[in-house]
Amino acid sequence: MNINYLAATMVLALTGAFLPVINRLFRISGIQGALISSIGYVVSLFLVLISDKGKHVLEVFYTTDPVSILLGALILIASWMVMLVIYWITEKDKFVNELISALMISTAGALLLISANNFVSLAIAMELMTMPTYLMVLFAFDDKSFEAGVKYFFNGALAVGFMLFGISLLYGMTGSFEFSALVKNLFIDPLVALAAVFIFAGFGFKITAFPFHFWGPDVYDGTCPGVAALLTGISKSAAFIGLMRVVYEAIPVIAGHFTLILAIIAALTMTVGNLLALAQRRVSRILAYSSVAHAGYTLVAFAALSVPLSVTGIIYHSVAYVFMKTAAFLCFAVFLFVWGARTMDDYKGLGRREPLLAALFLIFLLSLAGVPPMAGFISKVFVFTAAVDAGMTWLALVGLLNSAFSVAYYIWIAKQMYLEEPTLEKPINDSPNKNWILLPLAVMAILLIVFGIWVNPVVDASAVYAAKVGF
Amino acid sequence: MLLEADVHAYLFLSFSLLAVGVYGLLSRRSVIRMLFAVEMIINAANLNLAIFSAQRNVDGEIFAFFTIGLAALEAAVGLAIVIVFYKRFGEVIPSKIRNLRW
Repeated sequence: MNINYLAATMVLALTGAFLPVINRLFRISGIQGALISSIGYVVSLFLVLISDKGKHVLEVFYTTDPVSILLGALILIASWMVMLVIYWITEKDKFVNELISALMISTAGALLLISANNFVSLAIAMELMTMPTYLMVLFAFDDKSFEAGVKYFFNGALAVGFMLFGISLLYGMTGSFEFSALVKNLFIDPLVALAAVFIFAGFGFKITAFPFHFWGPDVYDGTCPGVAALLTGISKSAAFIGLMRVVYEAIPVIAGHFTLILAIIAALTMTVGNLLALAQRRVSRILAYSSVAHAGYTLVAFAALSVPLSVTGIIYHSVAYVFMKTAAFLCFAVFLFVWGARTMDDYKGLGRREPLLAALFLIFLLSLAGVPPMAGFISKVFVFTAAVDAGMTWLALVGLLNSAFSVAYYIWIAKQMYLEEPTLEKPINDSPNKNWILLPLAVMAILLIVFGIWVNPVVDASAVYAAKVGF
Repeated sequence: MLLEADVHAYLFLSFSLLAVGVYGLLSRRSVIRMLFAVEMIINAANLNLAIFSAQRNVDGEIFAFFTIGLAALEAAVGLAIVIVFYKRFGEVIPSKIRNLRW
């Protein structure tokens, strides 16, 4: 791990840790809190961007390669924008500084998770990323968020317990915590295969893959949408990269055996996510089920792990996903705060009431659906091309069909916003400085379009990673 | 083939701990019981690490210390959530609260 990268995570975590203390001492207002944490984010972003030079420490546990620099910078930007929106929508609440502190510590955990190189560091980083979010889910302080918090805590604890048990079994069989120990010894002993099942079950809970997807929509729906943006976008993208680092050690050994299992899980995950999303009336549940479907698209790239293009597919989809899902939930959060809009009926005519915000929401929805100028399109192109290259045309066809399905409910939201007569008469929270909130969302929209056109950074980073794992 | 013979008894013990923990978590009788079940699952992993470390190398014992720390963290956060839950509903049994659909 590069020393600058380590410093970046420490700056972020320490800023987060001291924010509530500063609030206790000086009673800072929302704008001052946003300024202090913005300083932390900017310093941390700068340190991540320069972390290709400098000394290396802790090389056994963490590695700093172009993938972790690229994803780290993007996760930091997304988390920064989440912070700004949360400060804006909960300005009067007195626990907002504690919430932001948890957000920053969780982001530091995500930064460590995308560079983990070892099962020890993977488990620690995943706990650091997840543990603050257990408390963040309770932040709305109503019955639904308590329900979501209890459900999220016990499901997450089960996932962590499974993963730790799998790691301990793997250690017992091989005497090593390396990622490569798992795949190299997978078929030597049935207990190693069982350890792999436990570890992948733990990851499956985190990324809401098919048999373990049930908790996701309830939690994302029950908590306040700013926190759901963190859970769906940032945590899941980091977990994808962590899973990629586990799976892509020693590929030739496992490629033949794993392809079919992963392909079936991917097909089921996207189908279940899309079909259930079509049946929902509440916009937050539609977005939650579409995040399950997007986990399926990324698993398509994992299923194609015998070709180098799948690395590009995974990394590109994580890059696109961290922006579009986070930003879609943030748009929903702003609509909920200003207009109180929850269901599809409430969204009628909002395009006329809030033209700029609705246009940004439309950009994110179209990117989720996979429409060309945005990054969501090019990432799906890479994912499905990888599936075809690996000889699984049926999986690519299932994915394309699912994409076509998913356009239905995204376009439905757009139709409600633009073509219907308004039902909501007046906003519940009308603040004079409303246009400031467009700034962070516009930054995310611009980055989404930039990464949809300028593919070089992601392709270069994934080429370096693919060369490192031996394609 | 990778194991010495007498480890299997310990392995049986840790698998039973895991099974009891998973049963306690999935039966959802009371929030306190579920918290204990989480501790049992993590301690099953701990037991594994301690046993195998005697045969392999010292890495497992070091990781066991990390795992104990994680279990303590898990217990602290879990107790905080349980206290909030109890203060709100006056009850620790999830199935008795009607709007808690699970």
